[in-house]
Amino acid sequence: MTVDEFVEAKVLPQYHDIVAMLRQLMHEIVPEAKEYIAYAMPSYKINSIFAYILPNKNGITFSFTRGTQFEDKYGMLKGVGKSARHVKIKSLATVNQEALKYYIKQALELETS
Amino acid sequence: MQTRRVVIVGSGMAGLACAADLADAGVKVTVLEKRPVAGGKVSSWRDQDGDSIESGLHIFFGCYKKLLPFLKRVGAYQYINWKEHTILVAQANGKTHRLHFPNLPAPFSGIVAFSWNNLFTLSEKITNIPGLFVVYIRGLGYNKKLDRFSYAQWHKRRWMQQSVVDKLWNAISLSTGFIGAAEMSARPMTTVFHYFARSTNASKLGFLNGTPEKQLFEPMRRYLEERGGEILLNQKVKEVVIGEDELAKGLLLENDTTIEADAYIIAAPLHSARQLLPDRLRRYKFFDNLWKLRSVPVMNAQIWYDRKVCDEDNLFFTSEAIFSVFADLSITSPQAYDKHAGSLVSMAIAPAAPLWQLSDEEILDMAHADLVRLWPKVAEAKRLKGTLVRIPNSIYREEPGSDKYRPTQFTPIPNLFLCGCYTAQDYMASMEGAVQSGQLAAKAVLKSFSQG
Repeated sequence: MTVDEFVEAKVLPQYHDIVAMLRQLMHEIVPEAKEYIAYAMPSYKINSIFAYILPNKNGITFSFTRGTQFEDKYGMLKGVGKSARHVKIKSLATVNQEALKYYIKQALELETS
Repeated sequence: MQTRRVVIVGSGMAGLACAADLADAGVKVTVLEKRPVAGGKVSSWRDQDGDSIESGLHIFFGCYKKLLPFLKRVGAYQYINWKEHTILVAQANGKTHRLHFPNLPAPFSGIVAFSWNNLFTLSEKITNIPGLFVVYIRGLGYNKKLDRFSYAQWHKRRWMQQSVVDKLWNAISLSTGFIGAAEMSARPMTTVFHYFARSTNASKLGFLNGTPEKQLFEPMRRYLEERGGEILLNQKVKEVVIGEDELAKGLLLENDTTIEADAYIIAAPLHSARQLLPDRLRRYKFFDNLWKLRSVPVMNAQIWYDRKVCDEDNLFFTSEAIFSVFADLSITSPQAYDKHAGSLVSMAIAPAAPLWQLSDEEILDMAHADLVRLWPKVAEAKRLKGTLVRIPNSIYREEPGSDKYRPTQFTPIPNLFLCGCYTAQDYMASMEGAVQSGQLAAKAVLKSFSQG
């Protein structure tokens, strides 16, 4: 399954624009990352999977595998457990793209360090 | 002759298989369990509604050469419902692929199953058979050498197609080891293939027709008690006490009492076993190696529906959901799970790490959404209830290169032994692996007793 097929099949239509925006941001900031479906979720990999997108009925959860190691000046990271953290996005209108870029850059730095 | 006493820490399959063998040999056995229920990773318990919650989706395979005779011995084998010998692979929109194993001698049964299905393309089928044939003709020693490769790497080296991993082996790897085929060592996967290729019924699947609580651990407890043994629940061990003579002197419990015996067996999971060992034992490479092994997390979701959402009496694998293996327990094990006239779908979620950060409700929503895609009838049903069991440290992570760190059941401390599927045994991390390790530990203890 490709990421496009995944979006068609598993993302509610009202959230397609959010996923498109996230894919665009990832492509701009981390063009070297492989975008593919791993474990039934759109994932981004350089050496390992460092970010992934989880759709659900309430919006899109944009996750970072090593999110607990991030600095979080925007205070948007959510989640429990030892490693991953995520940003929840419910609409494109309210998304803080600067914050997302800030998190993606940290994910990239950790992945390539 | 003086009766020997052995204390076993952990009442999972490994600990109880070990206990049964020792009790049969006339040893007085006490099993300590820190939780209020026996069973370790195979345990089950009741929630406030009286519904059974299982720690996982536990399946029996026909190739379980030590576990099945053990269950016969303790009187639990009768509770296994064997299913039609078919691997079911679920895809979107209710599509089910069937790999049916006809009643032919092995390996022909498997050859037919892998050749006569709609899951694989012709070129996949043509490359699968010679690719996998090597594990049939070579012994387990060959599989052991494959520990330097991931399964996906080995698969590629055998000129088999990645699409086969994507369609089936990844789901099997996630279901059995809770990690994907790219992370899983080739050793355990090819070991399973070896077993499957050698015996006609090896890949036949069975479900317990009730709960592990009642139909596995109750018979095991009875068996042990009839032979003078006991299982003590809610007994948390803090540490193994090691004397200056490098012998284990006792087990220090959380209530600061000490239990003494002639020999001690740690049958706890890897992460708990490490906590029980005094730090100074890490000067032994043998014990220090335990810190080089890792555990893997897993989650098990159970969702109750108000009507039947499935009519297949078997296990499903899938590569298209957050869970890799699932079954409607109200169909597969109706004696225990068909109480509400609706379905109870149990799903093993792996890899669990990416989803661990989410709430139970979010994960159950995602599991339900995936189930709707796989079984469209789910969309018409009402969700009555859902539960999620999270196990942060389940089996050991069977990653490439890990096999050399797995300990034997003997340790450098002459009266201290280890068992659990992470210890050296031939099969993969599983109920069968646990029982094999428990029986090896019992042999090791009896050998040490015979040597004085």
